[in-house]
Amino acid sequence: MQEKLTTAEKRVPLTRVPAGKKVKVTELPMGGGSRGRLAGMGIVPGVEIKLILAHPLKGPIVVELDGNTVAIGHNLARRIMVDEQ
Amino acid sequence: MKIVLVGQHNSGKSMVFSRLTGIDTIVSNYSGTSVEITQGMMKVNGLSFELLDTPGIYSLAWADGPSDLTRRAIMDLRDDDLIINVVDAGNLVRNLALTLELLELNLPMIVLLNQVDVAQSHHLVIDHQKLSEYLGVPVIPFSAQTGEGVADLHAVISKGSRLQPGSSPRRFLITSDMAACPCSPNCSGCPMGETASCSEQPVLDYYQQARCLAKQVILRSDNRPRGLQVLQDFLDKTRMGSLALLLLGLLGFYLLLSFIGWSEEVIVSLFAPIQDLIARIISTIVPSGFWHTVLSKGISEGIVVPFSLVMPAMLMVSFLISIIEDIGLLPRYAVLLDRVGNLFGVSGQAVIPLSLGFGCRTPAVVATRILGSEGQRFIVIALLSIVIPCAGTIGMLSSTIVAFDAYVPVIILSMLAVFLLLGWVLKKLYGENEDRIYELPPLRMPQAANVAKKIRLRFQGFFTEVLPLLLVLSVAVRIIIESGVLNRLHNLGSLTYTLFGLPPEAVIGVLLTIIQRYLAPLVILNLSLDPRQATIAITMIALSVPCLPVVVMTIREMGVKAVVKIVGVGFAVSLSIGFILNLVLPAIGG
Ligand SMILES: Nc1nc2c(ncn2[C@@H]2O[C@H](COP(=O)(O)OP(=O)(O)O)[C@@H](O)[C@H]2O)c(=O)[nH]1
Ligand SMILES: [Mg+2]
Repeated sequence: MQEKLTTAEKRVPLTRVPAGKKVKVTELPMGGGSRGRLAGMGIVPGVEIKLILAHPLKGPIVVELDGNTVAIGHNLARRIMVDEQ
Repeated sequence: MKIVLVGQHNSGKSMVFSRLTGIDTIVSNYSGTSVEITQGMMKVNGLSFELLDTPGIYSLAWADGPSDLTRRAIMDLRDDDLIINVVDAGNLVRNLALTLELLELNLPMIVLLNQVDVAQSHHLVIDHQKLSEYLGVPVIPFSAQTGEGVADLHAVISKGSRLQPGSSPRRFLITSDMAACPCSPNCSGCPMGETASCSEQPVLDYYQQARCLAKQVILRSDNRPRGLQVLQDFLDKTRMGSLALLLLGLLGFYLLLSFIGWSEEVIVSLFAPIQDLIARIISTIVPSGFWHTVLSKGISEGIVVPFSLVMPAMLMVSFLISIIEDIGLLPRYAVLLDRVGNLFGVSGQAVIPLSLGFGCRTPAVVATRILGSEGQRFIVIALLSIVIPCAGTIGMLSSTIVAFDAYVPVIILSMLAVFLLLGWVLKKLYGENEDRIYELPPLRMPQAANVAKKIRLRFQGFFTEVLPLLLVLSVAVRIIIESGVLNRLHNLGSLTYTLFGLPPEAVIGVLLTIIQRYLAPLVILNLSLDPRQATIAITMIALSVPCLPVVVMTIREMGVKAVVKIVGVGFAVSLSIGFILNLVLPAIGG
């Protein structure tokens, strides 16, 4: 799927974001309970999160928002799209 | 009038409940501690109110599993009931997002700004009066730990008026003050992603409002990491932190096992005079003969065995688990073990019930509710029931191992192999690659009082269950042994020897595990087995069917069918491991 993005932004899966970077969530996987659980923690399209650490060997991705730390399984993080600014 | 405690996960609802009712509840530092609604009575100026502690909830719109119980409890409320919204002062944004949502219900509500003791130590100052003006409901600074705010809460409840949020100008106030915020409250200006669905719009709104609100009511905060925060950053944010967690876990196991070995000797020697005394008393009452032997041996063993073999393990495991829980390490282990969990088709979260199982498997079965799906729960309960040794089992097993000089590596390797193999098979049957989300709570200093309370709760079973059961069964086992029934089994010997390399009496011991795994060694300890036979028997006992309390609990949680399957698999595992070990273990001295 090709989309026009502003030159400064790049849309990538959460698993491709380097540690320490702040990104904006743009797409969450459809369906399944995880979308609701993410939403319950405030992780919805439009929100900014900071990537803290990606555990090796396809481990969870640790992110931070509003001072809370959440680790997201690799399989789910792969399907969360974010904009790098 | 009914009062319901509602709040985000880990905001302190259960601790507030204990503070207000005096009822002991399990309070731990991770999401998902409370999986059921607990009911209690709260006294305010001589009046009694029914108070409910509920599982944590993120949002009414997204309530699944235990949270759904909370949502339903809220929906059942009538206009004269009261919501006490427990808010973690140290995590305002997320907590206020729920508060704003709850206000929409237009039910009487009080906000408890909980954990202000922690906030104070972090130099966080919140203007609770301003917050109260915005929300249109009373906001009471509170600490479930110190008791601060209890009197204020009582005063507000007994006044009873002005709790309905409806009349408040809060929405207007928030909106008008939000000029500085990036989004307007209805989020018309928000650069939403194109897949955002309508149901998420309100969530985003609540969060945006909560962020604005938090900014305005936090008068002073000090973000410099300090003390535990430094440790937390190290554990959560660096790779070395993961390594440190792993080493710490191994150290914990080592400590546990060496403590059990060391304490047994001490306790046995302490109990020697008591045993003598019991034997002497019995010989004065009962003349020598069959009953004399049965009672003097049965009763003294029935008392010494629980104290020396079961008690130290139960105490130490309760202690270690409570500490690990209260510091907030369990979810961190869940993240660490996420990749191992994937092998079994379960979330790393499974580490919570599995590690609780090392204490006692019965509550661990209930704890599986924090897992996402029935399939995962079945896998974890099966692994718990069949493989994980509870504290009592660990104590009994280690003592029989020492008594017979059994091969420890063989037993441990067999247990690991069965754990992996069974997990893998169960994954093929029931596993699912469901998405994993782990919340990492702030690290906390464990509080001596809370740890002591949990050790007491977990250890109660020793006096109500372990001690009486072992005493009765110890006498029963003595009767069997002394009556010579076992000798009559000898013609079964050829069968049990070919299958497992064991005498029939030992197989009876193994079969006893149906009642309670840690009873079986009572029989075994009275037999003369060589190290090889003991190794086989102990492994068969270690890997077998769930004990009665676990069976009952599993029926409650998962239904009869699940239990039948688990017991069947347990028997199959136990018998096959005995059979296999008999084939592969080299004969003794050869
Ligand atoms: N210092 C402090 N800790 C608290 C307070 N309330 C709760 N906690 C801690 O917060 C954690 C979660 O408490 P719990 O009652 O289980 O939360 P629940 O999930 O909302 O029921 C536990 O580690 C508690 O010890 C408080 O007022 N002060
Ligand atoms: Mg609770």
